[in-house]
Amino acid sequence: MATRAVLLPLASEPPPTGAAEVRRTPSIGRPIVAYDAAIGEGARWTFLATQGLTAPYTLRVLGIMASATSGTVVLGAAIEAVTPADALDLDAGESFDAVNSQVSGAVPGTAGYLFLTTITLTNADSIAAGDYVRLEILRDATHASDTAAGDFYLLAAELRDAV
Amino acid sequence: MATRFVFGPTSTDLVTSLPAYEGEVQRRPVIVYDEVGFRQSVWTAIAPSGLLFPLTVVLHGIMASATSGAVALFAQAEAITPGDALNLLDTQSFGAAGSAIQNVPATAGVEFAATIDLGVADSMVDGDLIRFTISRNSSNASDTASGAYYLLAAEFRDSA
Repeated sequence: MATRAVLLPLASEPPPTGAAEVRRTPSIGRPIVAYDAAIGEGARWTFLATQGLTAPYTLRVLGIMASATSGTVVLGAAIEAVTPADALDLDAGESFDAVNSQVSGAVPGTAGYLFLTTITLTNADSIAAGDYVRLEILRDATHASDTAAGDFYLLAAELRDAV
Repeated sequence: MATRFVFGPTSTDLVTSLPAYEGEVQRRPVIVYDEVGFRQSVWTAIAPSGLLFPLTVVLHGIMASATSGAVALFAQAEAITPGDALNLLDTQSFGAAGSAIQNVPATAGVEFAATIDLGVADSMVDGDLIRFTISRNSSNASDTASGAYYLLAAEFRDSA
C-alpha cells in the first residue's frame, strides 16, 4: 500500500454549505477539523492524482473525540476526479461521486485518544493519474449509527492505493 | 538515503507557544528564529510505509546578519499510533531531541545546512500520526551567532 496523499486540517477547504470548522485543540494547539455531532458537516481537499495510482483505494482517517467515550461515528468520503477536457464547467458545477460511508469502530473509552477509521473508496469517480481531484470527508451526524456525542476532531487523513 | 518529507515555511502548524514566525526575504518564505531564546515550529504528517531508521533532518537556512558564531538547532518527533493511551487534547509526547551546533557562513544570507540525527524518531511506524518540531535555542551556550536564523526548508531522510 502506497501513500498517495496526506490531508491535513490547515490545507482543507470549506464546502459551500455545511463546512466543518478548522481550528485548534485548546491546550495543545493541534490543528483539527471539528465535525459537529448535531448536523452533517464536511471538509474538502484538492490535489492532483499521482502517476502510478492503482485501485483499490482506501482512506485512513485519524481523529479523536472531543468528549465522547462511547458510541460510534459515521464518516464518509466523496471524490471528484476531473480529467482535462471533461465536459464539466468547473466554474458552475461540481461532480462528486457517491459518498463512501463507514461506521467507525467504538470510539476510545477516553476522549482525546487517537483512533483510526478506514474507508474503502469503492466510488472513486474513475480517478486516473493526472486528474484534478477533490476529496471531501464528511461526518453523517444524523445517521442512526452515529451515536457518539460531541465533536469528532479530524487530525489527518491518508489516501492509499494498491501499489 | 531517501527523502521522506520536505517541509517548507508555509506548511507549519503555526504553534502558539514560543513560536518561530513566518517571514519573507527576497520573496522567499522563511521561518524566523529570532535571538530571544527558544523558538519552535511544528509540522504534521503521516508516517509512510518502509521507513528505515535512523532518520536525519537536513535544515537549509541562512543568517539574517551574523557572519560568525554558531546556531543551536534541535529537532524532535512525536509518533502516535491509533489506540495509544495518550490524550491528544491536552498532552504531547515528543521523543528525545536531536541537535546540531552549526557554524554559520562568513557572509550573511549564504545558505548553509545543518544535519540532525533523529534516531528512531519516537519509534514511528507506518501510518502513525506524526509531528516534527524544529527549534532554535539562542539561550544555549553554544548558540553564539547574533541575529535571526531563517529556515528555508527542512528535509527528512531515512536510511532506505
